[in-house]
Amino acid sequence: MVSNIIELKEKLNNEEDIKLLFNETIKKAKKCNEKYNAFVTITDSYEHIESDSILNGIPYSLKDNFSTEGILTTGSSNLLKSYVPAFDSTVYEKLKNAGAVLIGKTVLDELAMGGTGTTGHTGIVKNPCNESRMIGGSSSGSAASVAAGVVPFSIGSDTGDSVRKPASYSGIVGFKPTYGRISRYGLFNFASSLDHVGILSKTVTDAAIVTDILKGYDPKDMTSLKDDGIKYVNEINNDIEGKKLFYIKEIIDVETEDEDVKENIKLFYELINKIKNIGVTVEEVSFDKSLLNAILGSYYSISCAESTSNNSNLTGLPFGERIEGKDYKEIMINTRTKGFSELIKRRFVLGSYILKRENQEKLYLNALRVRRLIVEKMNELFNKYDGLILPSTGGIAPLFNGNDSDKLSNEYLLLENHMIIGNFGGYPSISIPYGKVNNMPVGVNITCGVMKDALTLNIAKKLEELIEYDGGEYHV
Amino acid sequence: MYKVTIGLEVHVELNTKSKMFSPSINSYDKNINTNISVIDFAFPGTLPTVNKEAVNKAISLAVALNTDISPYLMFDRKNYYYPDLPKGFQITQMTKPLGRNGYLEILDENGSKKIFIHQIHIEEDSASLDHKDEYSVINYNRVGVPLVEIVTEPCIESVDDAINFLETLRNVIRYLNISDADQTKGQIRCDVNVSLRKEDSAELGVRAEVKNVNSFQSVREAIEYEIKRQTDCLINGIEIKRETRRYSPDTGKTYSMREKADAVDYKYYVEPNIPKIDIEPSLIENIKSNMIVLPNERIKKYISEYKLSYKEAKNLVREKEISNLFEGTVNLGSSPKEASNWITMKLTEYLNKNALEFNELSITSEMLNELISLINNKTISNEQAKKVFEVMIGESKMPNLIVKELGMEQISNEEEIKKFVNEVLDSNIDAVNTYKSGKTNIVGFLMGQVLKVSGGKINPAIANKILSIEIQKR
Amino acid sequence: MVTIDELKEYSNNLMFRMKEEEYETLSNEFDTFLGWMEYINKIEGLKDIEPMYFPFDLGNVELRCDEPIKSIESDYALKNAKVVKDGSVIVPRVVDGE
Repeated sequence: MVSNIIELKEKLNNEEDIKLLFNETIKKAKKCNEKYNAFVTITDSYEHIESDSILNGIPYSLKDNFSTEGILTTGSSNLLKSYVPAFDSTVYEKLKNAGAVLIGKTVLDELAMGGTGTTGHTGIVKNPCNESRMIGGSSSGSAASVAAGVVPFSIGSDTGDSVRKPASYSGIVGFKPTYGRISRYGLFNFASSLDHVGILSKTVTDAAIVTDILKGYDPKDMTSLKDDGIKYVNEINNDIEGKKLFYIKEIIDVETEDEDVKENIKLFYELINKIKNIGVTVEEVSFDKSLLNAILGSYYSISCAESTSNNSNLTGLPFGERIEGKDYKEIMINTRTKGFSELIKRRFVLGSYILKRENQEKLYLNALRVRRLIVEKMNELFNKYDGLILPSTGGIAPLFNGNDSDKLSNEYLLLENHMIIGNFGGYPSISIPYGKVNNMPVGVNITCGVMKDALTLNIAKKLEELIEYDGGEYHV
Repeated sequence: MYKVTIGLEVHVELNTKSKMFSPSINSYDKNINTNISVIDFAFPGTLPTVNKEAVNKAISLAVALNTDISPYLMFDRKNYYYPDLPKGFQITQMTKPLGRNGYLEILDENGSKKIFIHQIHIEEDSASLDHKDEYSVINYNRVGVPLVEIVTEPCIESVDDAINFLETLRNVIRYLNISDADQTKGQIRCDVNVSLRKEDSAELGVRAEVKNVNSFQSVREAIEYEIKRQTDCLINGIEIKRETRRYSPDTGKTYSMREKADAVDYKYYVEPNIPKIDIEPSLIENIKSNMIVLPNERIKKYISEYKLSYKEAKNLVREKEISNLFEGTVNLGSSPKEASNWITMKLTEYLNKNALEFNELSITSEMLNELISLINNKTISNEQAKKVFEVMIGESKMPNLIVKELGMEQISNEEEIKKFVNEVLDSNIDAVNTYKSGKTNIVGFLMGQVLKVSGGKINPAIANKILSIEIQKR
Repeated sequence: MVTIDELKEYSNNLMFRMKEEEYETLSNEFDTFLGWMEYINKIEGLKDIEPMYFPFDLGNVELRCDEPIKSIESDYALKNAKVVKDGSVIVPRVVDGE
């Protein structure tokens, strides 16, 4: 299947068809929720604006950190469990006007600060590929709703890999365009200089279709880009023979006992050979290991620092689950103590420590300096190569076994965290499924230089054709 | 024995139509929550957008204060929790303020002084709290109003200089039309830093910061109180604490708010939602070349070119429109002295008597110039001019029209005057005889009669001459 | 090394309390993170590098035209506020200087 959206579109001839599809999809969504807990809210009333766009009548889901006027938006946090916004995010407004039909708001790791799908206030999200496994995060419910075949696409957000990783874990496509390509107005701010709007879908073509609708300059978001005037869907079928890709030696050469990781790497090399056979150059490149090892620390520093400040508006005063107290301080303390999970609080304490006057130089500014070093080196490479290709993750979706996967620890492989590079530099980056390991899907990640969104989708589409992945059909 | 050092931080609300980082209305409104947007409430997902006009106005002030202007704009977050701060941070400038190292010249009878400006930067205002007995209501109207903050170096050495600085600054601001700077509406607010040191000491003493002093009178009182309080402390060997104090307009005193002002760490860091904004040199050039002539420049010109006194010049520049009226009148041909007299004396008197503000009048340079001409070419007398002036302002009419309507043309024709003089002499034989007996002062009485009988229209100088001649003939 | 008491002070400044047992976890996380940062701080020539606040230079940014939009109705804006009186959100009387 090249495009789920186009397939569905062919069946929609009139308003009645659209309403029928909506009702069917709602049923699927409810089943999906019983099994995997993907949704915070499932739409209870049919709403559709007729449009001649390609998305007219197409159902979709939206991560619950996108503001939707009149519809509960919780950020999967208890503090916002009854918050109903008074305005629309630009993304939601555009999809509404394109005739797309919202099926529901999906579960995320609380306030998008997590990568497991286990920290949302309505409970854990299960991986439709295997219910004893996580789906990752933070766009957990979004990925589940697509992987389970409820909707052809979902909109998520990606700050460190939060669209691409769950996509990889659940055998679907996760695309994060260039920073600013899609307006962030109405997306709850996690770490503003790293946040991106992302698309989850079954196919690359669908990701391109949706991106075409969503991209464009938004005067309400000063970081949004002027439209590049390119229709991505017209560029994805270009021949990629002659293109040059690279992968990073220090990331792929990993010493591990984990059989799944070993198998994945084997698969990756097999893919590389296939790619070379279609006339694309793939080279191994060496990258300063000390910089690579700095990625996770730098990411935690920047993201915790920015998110602490971004969530200082959650005090219970003009909105939120306010709890009374004898003065404003007590009100804020009571509200935030009850409203935030312990994990979020730990991140905030870390973030505020990083921003202390006496610590900023060493803990915050140095992280930003490392960011620059990494990005500058990557930019040099993108001048020579069209794209970076690596396995999206090392291992497969982890099991739910009560381990401390949320606690910061020294156990990590570069292979699990390299996609952060896409956020550091704002690069367009995509994960597409490319095989199975231990009966679970694994993804391959392609990242190109800044503003090269069309190229990223093009390369991904051609690889998708090459790969002929067929393991993506999980149904509710 | 002790020298005082004063530093001022002045916050000025800009008079743009919309707010600094949000597009809601920027306007003074007594009603609660009428000028608000979702961005002002800091609902999750809202983002700041920078107001172009606010930036231009801030730049014009930075230029007027002779600061080095940053080649680009960058904003920072100042993080703290308070009910009047919906975002939990204020967007301000810390890393790269708009302008640095400037000065504002203040003038007085003795000459001029430069008050050095440490920096000027752009930021946004917070909500206001309406305090009731048991609770405080958060009024979100003021959230996001554009502010420009001007910070002086600790270089002001007297309370008079401090007030002079504030008045000069306010006038510059009004001339530039970047703010109405109306104290009663909270559009110009001050934090005052005061410290004392021994006469011979080069090192500055420990300073106290008095926050949110909202009128210039209060600034004076707060500084004077602080000088007294700190002097008392020093004399009695009590340590002066580095602290923040609150001024009470009811008592005229300052009270300790919190110690160790340094202890609050606002965790400033660069605002990630606002990219760097280049300030084109051509924009600054444009602002410089189109800048209105500022009050001090005008004062200097009035003194050197027009030979007015400092006091007169200062009076004339007290409002831009008054200064423009003066200059317009002079440009049309009136002498500076005469134009100045009419404005500083008669006009001021009129405004005071009728409790009016200058902007409530419609008086033009053409009117004033014509009035002065009519006096100079003797069409009307000084006495008549006063009446014409009142009608001119009251009805916003050109003077020659008024003179015609009121039939006020002064009689200069000698034959006609002769008639009036002889009429008076004929009916005042006793007075004539008094004159002839040597008591020549009686001529004053006779002049009065001539004026009366002619309805005040005769040219007094000519009448006097003719009276002297005719009385001799009797 | 950051003490538990210091961590409690920091969370207090952030306007929340944490469960007792969480401070231990947090302390360990601090150690991990500070270890990472120590590693980063050893990178050569780091202090001469300009910090990177934005992912790339966005070029000429458009500023907002000074035209105000219609105000949102206060009641509508405050429909999520739990405690409203006299037309807006209220808190117990704030004493100046708190």
